[in-house]
Amino acid sequence: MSGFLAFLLTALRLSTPLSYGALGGYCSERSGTINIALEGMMLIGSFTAAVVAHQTHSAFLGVAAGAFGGLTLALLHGFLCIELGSDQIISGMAVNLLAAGIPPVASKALYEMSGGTPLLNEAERVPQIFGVSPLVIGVYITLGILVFVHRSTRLGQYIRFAGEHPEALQSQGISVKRIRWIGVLLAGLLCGIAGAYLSIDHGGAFARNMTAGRGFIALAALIIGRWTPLGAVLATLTFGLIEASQILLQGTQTPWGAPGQTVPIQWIQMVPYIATLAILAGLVGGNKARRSRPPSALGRAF
Amino acid sequence: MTRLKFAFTNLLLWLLAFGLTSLAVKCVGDSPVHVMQVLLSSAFGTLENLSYTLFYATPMLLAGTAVSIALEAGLFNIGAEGQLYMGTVAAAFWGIQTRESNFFVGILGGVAAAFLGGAFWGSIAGYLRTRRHVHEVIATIMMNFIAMAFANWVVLNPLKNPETQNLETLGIGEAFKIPRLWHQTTWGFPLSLILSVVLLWAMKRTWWGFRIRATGSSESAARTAGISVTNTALFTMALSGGVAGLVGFNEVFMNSYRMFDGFSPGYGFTGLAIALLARGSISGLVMASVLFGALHKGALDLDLETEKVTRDLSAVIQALILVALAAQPTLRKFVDRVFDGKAFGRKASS
Repeated sequence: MSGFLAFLLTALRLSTPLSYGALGGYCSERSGTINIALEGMMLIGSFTAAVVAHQTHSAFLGVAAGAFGGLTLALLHGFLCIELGSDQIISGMAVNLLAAGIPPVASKALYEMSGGTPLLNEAERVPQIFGVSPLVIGVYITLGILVFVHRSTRLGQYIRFAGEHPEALQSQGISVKRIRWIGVLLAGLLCGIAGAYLSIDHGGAFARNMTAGRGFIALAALIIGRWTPLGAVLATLTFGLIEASQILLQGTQTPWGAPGQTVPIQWIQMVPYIATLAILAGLVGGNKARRSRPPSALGRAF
Repeated sequence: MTRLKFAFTNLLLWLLAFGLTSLAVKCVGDSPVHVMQVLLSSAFGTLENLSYTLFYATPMLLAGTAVSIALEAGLFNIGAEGQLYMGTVAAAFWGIQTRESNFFVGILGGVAAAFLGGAFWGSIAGYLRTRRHVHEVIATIMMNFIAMAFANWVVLNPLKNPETQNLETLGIGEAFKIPRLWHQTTWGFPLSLILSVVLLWAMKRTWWGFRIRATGSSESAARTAGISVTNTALFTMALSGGVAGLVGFNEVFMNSYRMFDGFSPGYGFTGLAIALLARGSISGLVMASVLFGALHKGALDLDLETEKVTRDLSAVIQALILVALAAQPTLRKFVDRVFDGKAFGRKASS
């Protein structure tokens, strides 16, 4: 029983960065800005968080720095997409490449290391409350706020309109650009926190490309969750379960081949990506009524 | 005039990227002028260096062509990286399995294997896009991760070279090892140049090229004209993946004569930047590939020649070029205004 509970806790931990990412994706995409830059904002967030936590010996400042790092790239993405009306996928790729390129250069300049940061000691990592990280709880607080905003506030309505029918919002005298800026910046903030979780909470240092596609999986979870905050978080919990069972698979014997042969680690690594594609193909590709539909004005500059 | 504006826009774009890079270098605490000198001399300083630049430009040109083809159909093929990995796996597999056979079997089979490996991977993304409504960007990104893990497994398990600690496969048959063309440059460079010219020509002059471009310009118009949009998109992804897969032939049969784990420093992603810079022009593709090849080669010497900056700077520069590329429409508008004189207060009507 306790083994099963531990398994669920692992799944919860593994789903946390995905949940922050998916909620960030919700803010950005529902207001009309495609955000494949979630990955990059997460990556830079985990780098800045690890660096600041190491320099100041404060986990709190580390998380703040992670959020700030995510925000900085969100500023760039927002400027390109909202102010200049650039192609949002190209801009997202640019942000992702930038986030992959900066840490190695900076880590060399700061620590004479090639791409990582020094290992953090216990005091520099986020303290756990009864074995659970406050950042894990933070997901559900954020979720509660966003569900409330989504369902019962003007802002939630504006965000949906900015993504579905920006002209209608404009005609009501609301600035579409401002709403979209809010969405993109919130995405940066949340992804930065997701990154901080990876490097100074779940992990004990920053490593090269440590997000490993989690930003993209978060985006897929948003689609699977039908573009709602609750659905997105439920989808990320599923991915958390899949990732946790990945750990169980390690070292298991294959039913075929020589005795003692274990499932290759690379095959286990593929699991979340294959699962993402399979769920997307099954859910999005189903019959028209059940299909997950993106906001109509998603990707259209205004 | 349009061409001049296009060239001018791209020039501005590179200037912007290098301006930002200089700033970054300054922040790290090194001299931008020195870094630029190292980049230039290491990329073009000697004939040997130039041959390295062209060597790196080869896979970039192939990947750039692959992404360009997909772009013509309005598809963002971010999966060139995964496709070229699958092409390389297939080429290495063929080269190792048929190692006793003669030159022609090895080479022709190798080309076919590389192409089909990439095409297979591209067509899965195409299938997901056309039949299952999964956006090709998400699909190809996931396929990249799967391909890289698969390639890693192949190199470390079924095809592993047991004689070394290096992460590499067995060697291919002696008869298939195509010697280099000039210093480090492989035959792949002229061959991919020819391939790019032929493919881009075909995009404009053949019926299937027309179908691809029609689908890209307007899906509804293409459908009205009786073109099967889904089949065209599927075909385009397969073709694009196949061209990216040919990188594997260059790598396995002309360069390392085996497959190394992680041989690609992100050629597929560079291909995206190249395709966006070139916008379907062949001279643009070649120039952009050589420039990115030079950037990669130049950056390799930064580790030794400078105090603070490492080869990773090339990734930053590449990203900044992509940032500038995203802002390209705005730059273009600015260039237009300068050329029309509006930037200097000239009225549009006069």
